[in-house]
Amino acid sequence: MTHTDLNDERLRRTLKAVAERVPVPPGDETLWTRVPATSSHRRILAGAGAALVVAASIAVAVVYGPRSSDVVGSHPGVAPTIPSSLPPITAPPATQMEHYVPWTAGGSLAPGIALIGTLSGGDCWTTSIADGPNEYAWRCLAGNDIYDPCFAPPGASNVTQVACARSPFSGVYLLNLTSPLSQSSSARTATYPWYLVLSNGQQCDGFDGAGPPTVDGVTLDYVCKDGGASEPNDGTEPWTVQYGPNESGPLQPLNVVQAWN
Amino acid sequence: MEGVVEEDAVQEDMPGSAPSSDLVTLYRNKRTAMVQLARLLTRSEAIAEEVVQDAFLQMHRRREPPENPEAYLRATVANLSRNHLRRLKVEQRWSPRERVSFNDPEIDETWAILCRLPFRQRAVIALRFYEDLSEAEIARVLGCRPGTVKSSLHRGLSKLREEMS
Repeated sequence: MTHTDLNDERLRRTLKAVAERVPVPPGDETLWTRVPATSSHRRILAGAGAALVVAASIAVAVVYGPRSSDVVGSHPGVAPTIPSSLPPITAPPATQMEHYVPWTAGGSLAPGIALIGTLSGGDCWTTSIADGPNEYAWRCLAGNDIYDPCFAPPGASNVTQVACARSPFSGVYLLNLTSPLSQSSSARTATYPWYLVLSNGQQCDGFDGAGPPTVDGVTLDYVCKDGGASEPNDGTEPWTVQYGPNESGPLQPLNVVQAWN
Repeated sequence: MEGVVEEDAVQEDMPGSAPSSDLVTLYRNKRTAMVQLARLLTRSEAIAEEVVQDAFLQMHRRREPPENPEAYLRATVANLSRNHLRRLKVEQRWSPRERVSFNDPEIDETWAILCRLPFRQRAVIALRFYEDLSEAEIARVLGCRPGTVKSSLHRGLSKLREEMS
């Protein structure tokens, strides 16, 4: 370098240029209301800045610990098998639809669901954005961290504990709520699942933060361990997605082996 | 940031309740400024919007309004921005920063160096030179001692000068 020495004026000019580079899009004054999370809602959350983003990785404050791909657990009635490579198949099987329920009918943690830890002070203020189709999935806050999705026991009333999962295979955090959920999540219109397992072995969860990346004009609404995937085309069997290994692409069509909600 | 945000002071009523008129006014008056601050802290225009949205939701959930809503909001934005960046360190799946050009080599270079600073040093510089806060005010926003602000500012500016030389 250097163009000039550092001085206050240069710092101020830089900070102002970054902060005010583009106008801040209008805010959503309905953000306080409970809004059923739908796939399109996820896009709305992405906001006007979405086109600028090739960088955003995950929802702003979603924390769960290890990535799902690190821990492959089990699920009641389901023995998930995650393909490590694409088998030589001529007629790909239909996409397996799986419903994630980490609870027993009696309201205790289901056998095979690993408990990662227990958190307190939780509050679930809206329906899940990550798992829109699941009527028992919530978006919750504990401290400053957002957990989404968190699952309430199906059909239970006065729910004071939800199970928050990073993936169907990762185990759960039990989150104790400061006040019971007053109702089950309201009726949903979302159709796209929370979690996908692709034919190349990638596991992808729904992007629930601002600004999913766009590659070649395709919005990658799912964040995978490596890269991202579009919302699935469920008009065929098996379902397909456009998958990109990184922000530069190239995109390739892949089959969806499992779809979880 | 410990102690800055009272995490247990949440509303008893269900989410979805109407926000207070004061909060709506704060939202209308300060949201843009908070998003601009969060852009500096998160290095992302899109993530900044999400951080500020969650900050307002946190304020809405409080049982009692904070004594100084604007200061509380600023502290919450700083806190959530830092949490976000912490997680990005763990989960580097996409590049964490948006790459933007300002068509001004000085600004491009200065911002690139600022982006490489640790969060606290960049936050102190942003709050000092963009928000024009005093060191005492910055300490309250970041939940640290004024001496820490002073040393972070010194280190951050030294690093900037060092990389420019």
